[in-house]
Amino acid sequence: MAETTNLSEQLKELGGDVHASLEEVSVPMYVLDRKGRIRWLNDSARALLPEATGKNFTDVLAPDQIHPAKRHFALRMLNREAFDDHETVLRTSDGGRHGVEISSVPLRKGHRIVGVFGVMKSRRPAVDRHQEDAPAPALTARQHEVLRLLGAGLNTRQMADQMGLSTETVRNHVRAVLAGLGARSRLEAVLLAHRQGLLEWPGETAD
Amino acid sequence: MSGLDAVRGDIRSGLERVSVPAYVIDTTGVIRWVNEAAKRLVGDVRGRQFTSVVAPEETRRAREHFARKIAGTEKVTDAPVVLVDSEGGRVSAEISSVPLFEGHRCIGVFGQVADVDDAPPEPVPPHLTPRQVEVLRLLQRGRSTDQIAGELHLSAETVRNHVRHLLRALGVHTRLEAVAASRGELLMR
Repeated sequence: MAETTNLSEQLKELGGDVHASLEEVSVPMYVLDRKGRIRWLNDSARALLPEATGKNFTDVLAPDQIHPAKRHFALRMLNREAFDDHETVLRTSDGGRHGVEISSVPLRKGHRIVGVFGVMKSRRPAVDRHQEDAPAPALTARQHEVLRLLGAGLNTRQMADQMGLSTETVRNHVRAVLAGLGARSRLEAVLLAHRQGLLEWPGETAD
Repeated sequence: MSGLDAVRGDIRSGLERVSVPAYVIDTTGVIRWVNEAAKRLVGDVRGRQFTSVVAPEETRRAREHFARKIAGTEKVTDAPVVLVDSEGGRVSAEISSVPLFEGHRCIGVFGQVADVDDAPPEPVPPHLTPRQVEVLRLLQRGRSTDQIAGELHLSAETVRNHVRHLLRALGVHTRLEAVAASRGELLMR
């Protein structure tokens, strides 16, 4: 059996419709042509950027990203700059900002660069969604106390006893903590708080 | 039919070089292809059973997802998994995988590592059953009962039962305590 030299040849020999698989996998991917036009988005990228196919890639970037992105793109198309992994900020359809980490490589036909194939890396699960550098949510002193007790595993009744409050008041504080952290459950709130450095696990020291 | 078919340029070659790990497993569970990034993450594991790259306590769940995709009953799996690299190191990752078709025939599974957690996976208490470990892993990621039920293909009631047994096994009373206990000194009691 002939030894294949490169991985992409090997993938070809395996057969199968890899393109169709790329359409459906939950990792956002895109193809740009040489002019920077978005030629293809998979389902996952389309969910992030509806109606973007056919537009220029700068149309989906946050305004402050457009100028540097254009420059890098031009240099890369001229083969004068390597394709490095980089971070950028997308402008979502509702005008919001969505930070992504991008891994992109030149798309070649023979030796000619005909565009860019890119993968967005920051599809994070709910607990990880908040980046470390995101500002810590502003919680009141009471809410911090509730968060600390939640982290220690206390239930509503126990928190009420400890804080000298009614269970209904404690529930209100818990609701506010969840809303402040963007969490859907008490467990998620505590995990998010740990990620943001608002809480420490037992035995862990602050740094 | 994919819009990619009309794109000029060699997508497979791009896929080989992006820094997002990708792989193909055939219908017998043998890893047939990995890209460069996957090699960097777990080594060149071509020719090995995919279960050898998955942490022992998670192989059952991984096998179930795999079987459902080969059988055509599951289209996309997005699931956390603990991978084991060639030196036995453990990496916590989120993987998205889909069937690979040739015509109408499923010839394997294509997957990508959507995210790698920088922190090493939390330790697993030794006395738990495989199901309890699966449930604990998902609780550690903040999943709710319904989400766990969805990922493990169980009813919410069954998940609640597993959680109850898990809490008892860990000697704790709440899910939150279970997560804290599984990673902190409480485990050493």
